[in-house]
Amino acid sequence: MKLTTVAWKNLISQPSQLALNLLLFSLGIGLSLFLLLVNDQVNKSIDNNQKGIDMVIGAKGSDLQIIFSSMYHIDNPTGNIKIDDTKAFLKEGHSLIKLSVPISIGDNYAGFRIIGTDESIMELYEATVASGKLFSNTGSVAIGHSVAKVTGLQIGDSFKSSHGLTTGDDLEHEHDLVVVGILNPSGTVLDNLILTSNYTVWDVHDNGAHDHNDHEHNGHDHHSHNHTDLSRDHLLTHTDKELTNVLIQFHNNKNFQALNLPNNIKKHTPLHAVAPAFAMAVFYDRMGIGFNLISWIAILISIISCISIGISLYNALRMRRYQLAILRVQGATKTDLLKIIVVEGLLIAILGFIVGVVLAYLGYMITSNLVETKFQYIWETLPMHIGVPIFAIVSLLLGLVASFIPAAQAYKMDIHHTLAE
Amino acid sequence: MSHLVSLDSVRHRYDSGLEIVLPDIVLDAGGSMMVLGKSGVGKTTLLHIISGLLRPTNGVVKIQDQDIYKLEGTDLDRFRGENIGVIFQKPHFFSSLTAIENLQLSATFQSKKVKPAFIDQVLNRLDIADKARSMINELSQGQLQRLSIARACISRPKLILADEPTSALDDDNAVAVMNLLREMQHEVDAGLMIVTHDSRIKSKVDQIVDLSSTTQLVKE
Repeated sequence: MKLTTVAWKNLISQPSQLALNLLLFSLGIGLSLFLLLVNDQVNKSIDNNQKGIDMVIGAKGSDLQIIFSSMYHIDNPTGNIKIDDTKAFLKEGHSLIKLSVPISIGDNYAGFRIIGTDESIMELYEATVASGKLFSNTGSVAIGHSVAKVTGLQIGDSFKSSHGLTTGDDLEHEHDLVVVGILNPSGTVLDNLILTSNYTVWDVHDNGAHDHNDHEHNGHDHHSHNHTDLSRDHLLTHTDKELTNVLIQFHNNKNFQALNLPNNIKKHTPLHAVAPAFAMAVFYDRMGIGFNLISWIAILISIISCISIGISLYNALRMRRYQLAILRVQGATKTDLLKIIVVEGLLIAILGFIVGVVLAYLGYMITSNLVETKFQYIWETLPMHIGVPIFAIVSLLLGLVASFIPAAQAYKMDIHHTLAE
Repeated sequence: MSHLVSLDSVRHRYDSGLEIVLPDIVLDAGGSMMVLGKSGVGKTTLLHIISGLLRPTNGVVKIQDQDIYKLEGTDLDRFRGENIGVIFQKPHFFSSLTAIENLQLSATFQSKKVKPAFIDQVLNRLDIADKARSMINELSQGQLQRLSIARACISRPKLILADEPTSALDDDNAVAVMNLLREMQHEVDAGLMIVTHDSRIKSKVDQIVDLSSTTQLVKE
């Protein structure tokens, strides 16, 4: 009979104790791993969508609201800005600016936001068209990879957009939008967006079926267009029109003037400007407090579970000391007894780790679904994380630590005195 | 001539300072011996010294010409497992295992392989084969006693040591257990040494050593 079998049978002979130890152990491991998985996906989403954007210009409001609405598309915009006010940043030739991207936010289809922009957005996100082409005139759209996957829209399909950022038949516009292209997956927010020209956004709202007076209009007004000229120069001729934001990439984001530009814009123009790197650093700090707190709770649970396993093994050792002494009489060595106890600790750790990983991934899947439903962000399905093998090693170490004292007691057991008791 | 067991000038000093001087004992292969004595006279000490569990302060303990205290650690443990089967007064088993699993566990520590067929044979011989797959708490005291005998015999030891195997039994059961012990002794061709204060079984053994008259307790 293998010592592992003995250890396992010893464990399952006390099911309530085993269940408690497993619960504590798996909670500690599961919570820690869950945090890592979620944190990793949040960071990936943030980093992917932050890349290349050094400054965001929008209407006066909160720094984070501007960033979340224009870069991550999970919040409402702070308002609209006049093209006339943004001309300096949108036209070519600004000494600090390498690339500028105008965006108009306002409508959605099936929860996916429709963004009015121009082809510069493809350069910013290093995105490419998988099939078809980018929007080319008023009423044509290119859809992100996830949008195509979730809605089933194909090239040539048409749909009606819903006004604002929530879905609803009563808010549906009259205009048909036609899909002319589908983008390759980029791992950025573009996967979840429907791209069209700014003119389409403006046009849809000029002749919309809904009442324009009972809700806000973000990034558009009501003036009919029928454009095929999507050049930047032509866009800038519409000085009376509004955008929601301008995304800016600098030639050199460490340049002193570039670093000061957001503050100068805030001070000297009716616009608001934010450097995402700084604003997100503040956000990380705030979010980090919560993550750290939960991490410490997870570590605390792991330590408590380790102590609980140690106490269980020690109590079991006290109850079985006579039987273990008899094993020595039958030829078991000190090491054999040590192995039985250590294997019991390791079995709890391995089982706890497995249950913990299952719990972590279950939690991750639930959170992932919530994020997808609420923000249309699609996280990786069951991502393999470096934390899994690390937690496997940590679990084994915890099992060893928990069984150390009882195993040492078994190893040092004086058989003569034990049997003479 | 070589003996199965021999004790020569064995003394042991307890932590309390009290020293026990044990008689020189010789048991030949296949023989049986009863070590008789009242409580506190050193019966358990003797049993533990012969089984390699308690190193005496002085003297030589040989089993099959092997001075067992010249062996250390794992070697002594393995020697004990292979050559000595011990039956304790109170039968203790792993309650998480079945009867046969407890025997299989004991067999795990033997360097020579114990055939499963032999375990079945011993259980049959002791009339507890039908309880082989029962959990320990489903066995009666008598069945546990027989399982103890089985456990001591499955490694085919050269020496079977029994600690008070009949003390708690009535006359009929005491005789029955003694008969079983003798049968198993012959089955595995071992020597038998019974340490007890139960004088009812004197007639069942070849030799009797009365520790009450041969052991000296010396206060330092």
